[in-house]
Amino acid sequence: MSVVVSKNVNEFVPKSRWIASLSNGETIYEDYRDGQDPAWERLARYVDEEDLSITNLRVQFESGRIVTIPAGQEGYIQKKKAWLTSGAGGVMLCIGYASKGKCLIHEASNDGDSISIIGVDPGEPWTIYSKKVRDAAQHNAY
Amino acid sequence: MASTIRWFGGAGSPEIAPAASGGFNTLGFFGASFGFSIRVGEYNTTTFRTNANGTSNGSQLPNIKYANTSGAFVGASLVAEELLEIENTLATLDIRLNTDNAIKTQNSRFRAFDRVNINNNPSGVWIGAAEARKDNASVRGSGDAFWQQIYGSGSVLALSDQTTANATQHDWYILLSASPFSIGEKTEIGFYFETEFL
Repeated sequence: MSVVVSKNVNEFVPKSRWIASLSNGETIYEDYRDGQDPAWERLARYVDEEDLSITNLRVQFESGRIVTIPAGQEGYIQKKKAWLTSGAGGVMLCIGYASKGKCLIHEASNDGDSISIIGVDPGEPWTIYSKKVRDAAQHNAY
Repeated sequence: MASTIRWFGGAGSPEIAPAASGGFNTLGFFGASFGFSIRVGEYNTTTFRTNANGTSNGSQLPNIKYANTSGAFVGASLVAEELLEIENTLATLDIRLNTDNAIKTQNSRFRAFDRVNINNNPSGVWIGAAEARKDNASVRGSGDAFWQQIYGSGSVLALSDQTTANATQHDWYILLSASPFSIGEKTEIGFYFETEFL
C-alpha cells in the first residue's frame, strides 16, 4: 500500500509548513496525522517507493513569508529546532540541502528571524537523498 | 504541531515554572539547607526550586554533589557513586519535550550562561553537568561517565539522540553541581536547552 502524503492543502496541513516539489511534478505538503510517522519520514518512503527525487524544497510560514532552497540538490533536509531558556523559548523551522557530506541549513521563524548554518550532513532520516544518490548507494552496497 | 519543553526538578519533582511566570522559576544551589551558602571551592549540598532571587523555598529537589571526575554524592549519602550508576529519578533536572505527534530527536544540547547571552559564560561559578541514562536499577547506565564543566558556547553538554522510535514525549536527565569561585550570591547563571526533531 502506498504511503499517505498530502498532495494538497487539507485539514492535516498546518499553516506554517514545508512544501516539497517532486521529480514527477507532484507537490507534497507537510501534514500531521494521528498515529502516523512524521510527514518527512513518510515523504522519504514515498519518494523511495515511487523512484522519485525532491527537486525543490521551501518553507511557507503563516505570515506568508517563504524561505526557499536551491533546486536540484543531492539531498534535502528538514527538521524543527525547539529551545528554551530562562525567559524565552520557541521553535524554528529548518530546511537545507546536503552535498558531498556537508550541509547548509536555514533556521527560520514566523517572525522573520533567520540564520544559516554550515555543518555535516546528518543523513537519514533528516536528509532525503535524490534518486541518483540512492541508486549509487545501493549499487555500492552490492 | 504544538511542542512544549518543560523543566522538572528530577523525575517526579515539581515543574520549574517558566521565568515569566514570576513563581518558582529558578533552580537554586545551596549549602547545608535552603538559604545557606556554598563555601568557596566546595559544592552544593542541597538543591531547591526557588524564586528569581532565591529567597523563597519552592520545594527541595534531588541533590547531586560533585565528588570526583567520575562520581557524585547523591542526596545525603557520604559515599560517592559513579555517575553511570545514578538513576534517572535522582537527576537534578528532567527536561521534557512533548509534541502532538510522535517524533525522533537529535542534536540536543544543554548550556550554562550568564542570563544575558547564551554564548557567554556563567558568572562567578563552576557548573558541572552530565547526562544520566539509567532507567533500570539493575542495569549499568549508558549516560556520561565523567563530569563536564559547561560554560557558554565554550563548553556545551551534548545530550543523547533519541532516534530509535518515534514518541510524543522525550526526557533528558541532567546531573548538575555548582561551586562558587568567590564569596557572595551568584545570580548571573542561566540554563539553555535545545533539541531538533522531524
